[in-house]
Amino acid sequence: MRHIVLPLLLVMPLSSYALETADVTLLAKPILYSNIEIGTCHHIPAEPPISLNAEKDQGVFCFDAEGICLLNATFDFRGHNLTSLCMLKNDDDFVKGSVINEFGVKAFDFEFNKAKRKCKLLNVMPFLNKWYIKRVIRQDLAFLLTSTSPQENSRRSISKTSEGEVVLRNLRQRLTYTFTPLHNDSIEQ
Amino acid sequence: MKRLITILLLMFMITTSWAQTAVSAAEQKQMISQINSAAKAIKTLQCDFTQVKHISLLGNDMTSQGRMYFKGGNKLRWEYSKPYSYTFIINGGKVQMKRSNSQTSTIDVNSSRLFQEITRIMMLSVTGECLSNASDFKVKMYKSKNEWEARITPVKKEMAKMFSSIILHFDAQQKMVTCVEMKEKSGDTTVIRMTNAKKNQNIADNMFVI
Repeated sequence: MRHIVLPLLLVMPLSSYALETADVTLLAKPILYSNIEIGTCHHIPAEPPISLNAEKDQGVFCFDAEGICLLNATFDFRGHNLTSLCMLKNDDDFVKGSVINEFGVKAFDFEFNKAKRKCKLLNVMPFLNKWYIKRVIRQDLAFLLTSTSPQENSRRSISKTSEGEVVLRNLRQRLTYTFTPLHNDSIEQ
Repeated sequence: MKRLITILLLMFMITTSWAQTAVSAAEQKQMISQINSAAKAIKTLQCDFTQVKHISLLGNDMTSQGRMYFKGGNKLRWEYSKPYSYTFIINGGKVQMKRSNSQTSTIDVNSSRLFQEITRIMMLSVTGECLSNASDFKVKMYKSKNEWEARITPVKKEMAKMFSSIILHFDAQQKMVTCVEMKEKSGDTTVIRMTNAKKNQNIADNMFVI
């Protein structure tokens, strides 16, 4: 049984992030250093039409009675993809979330402030802990959580299927986030 | 008052008799040697597992379940079935990750320095050197009546950035891991419990096909 331990501790937590995030790191840099994006994305959260009802029905996600939403999350970046799980918790002032891989290792946490419509990343794993990656994720999540219906602008689009699958596309970065609902019977308070 | 003190003293004695106690360096060496010997006798292994992830920011736990298959010669299948379907297979120099919606990634470990390192550490574990390899982890052994505990602190920078400590719980009789606790720097914990372990029973090779 001991044989499973190090594969578990080392290969699993690192591998499902390491492959794809290494690629994300390499590929994200040239775009962000191209001087096109710097300083222009800061206004993104304010751009989409915002529903005044956003405080109760947060974004395009459906929350259970406890304010929890559990999702499969896939991040596609120019042919590379990263699969993970995302747990969201909706309360009066914030939507808090955690993105972890299937083995339970955290990619990052986030806090979305509903009043300020701003997203803050916390506990970011070393592979993703680069300012240019964090900025893109932060702004994309803010867009996602302030949008209450499928929509599109020049930079991003959100679509939702009848099964509840939500797809956010960052058109400039060619980054796609796909969120698929999971059953919540695995969550305990 | 005297009665109260007696009760408290008894409670303290009971508590301490359950607690894990640190062992001497000589005993630690002996325990690790016994674990290594038990591991070498394992040709195949399969078990169920339950993984409970505590997310400190949200104050919630997330539980997932699945099954693990191990076969000597670097073959491992780690399969989640609930609430999501995800399969992770290691077979020699290749690693495959499969999702229910047929998203599959396969990696040749030789193509990446990181994966070469991971494979190296894996080999150390398979050959029984993981707990005794000081360059990767600091290990401190503890024991109680029915259980041994290896408290592991990662030494290498990449691992140390993610995990503050890892605790392996061993059945003191079988010398096999029954539970793994991973404590992350963020305050999150992941506890994986193994149950229904079956040792040295035939496992078809096609379970590990990549």
